[in-house]
Amino acid sequence: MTEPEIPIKTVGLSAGYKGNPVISNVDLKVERNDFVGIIGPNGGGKTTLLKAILGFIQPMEGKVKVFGRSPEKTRSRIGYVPQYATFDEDYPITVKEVVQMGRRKEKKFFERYSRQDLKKTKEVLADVEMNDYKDEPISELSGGQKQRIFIARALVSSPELLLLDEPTASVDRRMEKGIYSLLKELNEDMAIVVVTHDIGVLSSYITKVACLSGELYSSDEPCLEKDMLEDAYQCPVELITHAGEEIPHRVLGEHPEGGSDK
Amino acid sequence: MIQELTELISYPFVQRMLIAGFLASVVGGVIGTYVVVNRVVVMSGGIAHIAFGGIGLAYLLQDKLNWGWMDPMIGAVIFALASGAIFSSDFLRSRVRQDSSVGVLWVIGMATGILFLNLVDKTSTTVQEPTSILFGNILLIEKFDLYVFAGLTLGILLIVFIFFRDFKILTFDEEFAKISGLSTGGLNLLLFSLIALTVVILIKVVGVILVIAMLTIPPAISSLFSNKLSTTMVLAVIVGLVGSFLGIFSSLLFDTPPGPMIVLWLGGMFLPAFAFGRKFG
Repeated sequence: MTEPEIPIKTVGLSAGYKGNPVISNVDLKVERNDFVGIIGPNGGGKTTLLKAILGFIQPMEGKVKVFGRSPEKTRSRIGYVPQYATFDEDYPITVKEVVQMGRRKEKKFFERYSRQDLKKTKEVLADVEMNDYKDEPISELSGGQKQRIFIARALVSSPELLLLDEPTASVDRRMEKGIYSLLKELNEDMAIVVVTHDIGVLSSYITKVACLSGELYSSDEPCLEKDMLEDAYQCPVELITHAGEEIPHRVLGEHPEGGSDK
Repeated sequence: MIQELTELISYPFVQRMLIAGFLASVVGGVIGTYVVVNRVVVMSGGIAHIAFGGIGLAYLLQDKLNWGWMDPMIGAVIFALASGAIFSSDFLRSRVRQDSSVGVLWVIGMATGILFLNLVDKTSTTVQEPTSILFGNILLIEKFDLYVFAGLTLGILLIVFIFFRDFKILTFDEEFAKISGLSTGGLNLLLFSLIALTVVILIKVVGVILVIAMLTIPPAISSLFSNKLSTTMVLAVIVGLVGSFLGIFSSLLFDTPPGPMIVLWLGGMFLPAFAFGRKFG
C-alpha cells in the first residue's frame, strides 16, 4: 500500500436503495484520532452513509475506502454500534454473552472462546462500567445500559475505527454525557464517527463536524457553521445548547439584529 | 392406573409411539427455540403446509409413474427444504412482504396437496387419509421411520452443536453477524433447512396442522423461565417430553387421537407458565 491507511475515505459517493440515491456526491475523509460528528435531519442519509462505509450497500457512484481497501475486506477492523432500538428485547441472552459475540471475528471456525476472550470481555465491561451486570439478561437493562453493552461489544475486538449510529437516542442527559466522555477516552486509540440528529451533545467532544442531508456539508473545525446547518436543514437555524450548563448558551454567532439579511 | 400403564408400555406399538414422542420433543425443543427467538413461527407453519403438497405429489408419483420407492416423507422433505430455502433467501425478502409470501406459498401447498391426493387412484395405491396427514397419526409409525428420525435427530443436534455460537449471533443480530464476517446467507439457509427437516419429523408425529404446537409451545414456555439460549433449549425439551408422554398415555387411556392430546397438554402447561413466568407474569 503506497498511501498510509486512512480509516475512511469516500470520493463522490452516492448510495441508496432500489435505484434511488439517498446520499449523493459525498466526500468524507476521516483520519486516525479524528472524532467526527455527522449530524443531519431524519431521512438525511446518516444510516445509509454508515451502511455504505460498512459495505452493506454498494455505492451507486463513487468510491468508499476503509483503511485503503474495500469495506468488505476491512470490515473486521471496524467496530459498529447500531441504533439499539433494532435489537430484539426479548432474546434470552446475558450481557456477557452479547459482549463476547464481539470476539467471534477473531476466532477460527472450530475455535472456542478462550480464557483470553473472557478476560478481554471483562476488561471492556469494566471500561463501560457494566461489570456488575455481566450475568443479567439483556432484557432487564435500561436504554443507556444497553447502549453501553453494544459499545462494549464493538470494543472487545479492539477496533481501529468505531462507528456509532445515534448512540444517545433514548438515553437520559446524564447517561449521554457519560457515553460521550467514554468515547472521548477511546478516541485516543481509534477514529470515531458518530451520526446523530441531536446536535446539542456533540460540540464539546468532536474534532470535525459534517452535516448530511443528501449531500455532505463539512467543516474541519469542531464547530458548527450556520451556513452548513441551513443548507442541510433547508431553513434558517439558530443553535443553542444545554450541554453541561445550566443556562442555555449559543454555539453560533448571533443573528444580525433586526433580521437585516432577510 | 399404574398397572394399566405398565401393561401399555409392554406393547411394541406403544414403545414406538414413545420413542417417536421422545425424538420429536428433543428436536422440536431445540429447533423450536430458534423458531421462537427468531420469530419465524408463521414461516415454520408455512413450511409444514407446503410439505403437505409434497406428500400429495409423492402419492401421485407412486400411482401414475409406479414409483413405489417414492415415500410420502421424501416428497415432504423435498418440499419442506425448498420452501425453507425460499424463506431464508434475501431475494424474496426484498421484494415481497414476508408474511404475504408465507401466506401465498402456504395455501398453494395445501391446495396442491389436496388436489394431488384427489387425483390418485385409490383402488391401486394405498393413500393415508388426509385427516391423518393433517392431524398426525403416531400410531402408524413403523420401526423404519424411527431409524430415519433417530438419524435425522442426531444429525440436526450435531449441526446445532457445531454452529451454536454462530446461530446465536445470527438470530440475535443479523447485521452484527455480517460485520463479524459470518456468511449470513449460508447460515440462514442452514438454519431453515434444519427447521424444514424438523417439521417433517413432527408432521409424522402430530400432523401438518399441529406442527406449530410442538415447535412453539415448549420454547414459548421455557423462555419465560430462562435467560440463556442453551437453558431455553434444555427446558423446552423437558416440557415437550412431559407434554408428549402425557398426551400419548391419555390418548391410549381415553381412546382419543394422540396428536391433539399432546397439543392440549402442552397448551394446558402454557397457561400456568404464562401466569407464573418471570418475564411477563
